[in-house]
Amino acid sequence: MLTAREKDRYKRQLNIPQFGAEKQARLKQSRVAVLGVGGVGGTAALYLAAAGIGHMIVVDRDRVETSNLNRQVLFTGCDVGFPKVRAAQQQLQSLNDAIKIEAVDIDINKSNLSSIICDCHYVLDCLDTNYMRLMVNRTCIKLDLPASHAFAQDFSGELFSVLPGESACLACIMDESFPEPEETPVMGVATGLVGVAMAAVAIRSLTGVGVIDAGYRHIYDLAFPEMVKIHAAKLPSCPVCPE
Amino acid sequence: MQLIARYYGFFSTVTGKLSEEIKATGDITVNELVERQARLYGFKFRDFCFIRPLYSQRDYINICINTMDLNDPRKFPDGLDTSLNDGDTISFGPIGGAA
Repeated sequence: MLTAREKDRYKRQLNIPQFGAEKQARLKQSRVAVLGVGGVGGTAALYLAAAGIGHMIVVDRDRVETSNLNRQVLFTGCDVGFPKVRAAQQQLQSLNDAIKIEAVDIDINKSNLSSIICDCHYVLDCLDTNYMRLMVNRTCIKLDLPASHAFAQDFSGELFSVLPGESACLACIMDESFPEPEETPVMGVATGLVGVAMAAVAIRSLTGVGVIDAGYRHIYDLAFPEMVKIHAAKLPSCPVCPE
Repeated sequence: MQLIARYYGFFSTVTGKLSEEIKATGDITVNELVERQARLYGFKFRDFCFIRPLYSQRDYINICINTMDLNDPRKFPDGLDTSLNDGDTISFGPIGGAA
């Protein structure tokens, strides 16, 4: 049930055809994990908080640096030097005090990841190495959790969503040996766009409105505007996908 | 014939470009274009075009033509031997960067 205050806050989205109070209540009852609150994760978290996700867990081990501020719109110059999750929690909670924001200031690894995400309904993987992304993928498949994985470089971004058992998973299309730059050159508009797209997939998955488009690589180009959509087939020999 | 190449992720790192116009005399296939670009940008360019994930039985071709995936045999039955047409946009991806 939505309170009178919530009905007022979400009035503009409650009027969307096929959305309404029932879908809003689903968002309110939802629990999502945002792994990494940088350019992509911070943007996704902002839009999920604004949309009324009931419980959001934000996880990051880093502190805010000046060089983050070109793209990490959750933070201001005053946050430099402070833990990202604390600044994120403060900012997200000030945007929407009707939801619960849980800040987890730890280094994600394979021993602690399951316990962080096991009660979630959706996982947003906004981490910055292929090793970590593949670890999140393995854990989400094991826990049967839907998830989205994000990439961004230059003026472009890529989003790949996975429904365990139904679509290809991240290990079907890549492995740890894939090349990645040590320090990725990137514009804030690219991470922002992927973050918004990722938040939209989570909302679609949690409410059932629209399609998730799992198993498709969505590549967004903001320098020469176009979107490339590539279907990824399930790999028969994938060691991660359930049989 | 004039083509447009778009470079994403590690392709932009290798070429130092986001995009470029390519002039070709006469017919050219995708494979010939890859070889031509590899001569310009080095062997890594070719390697990145054909990546085989660890558990896969085959290489994936990291190329799209006019936003369509070259791996799709229904759209591109000739695969790498597909002839390119004047004005085609060839995208080299994916993106492997950070968030």
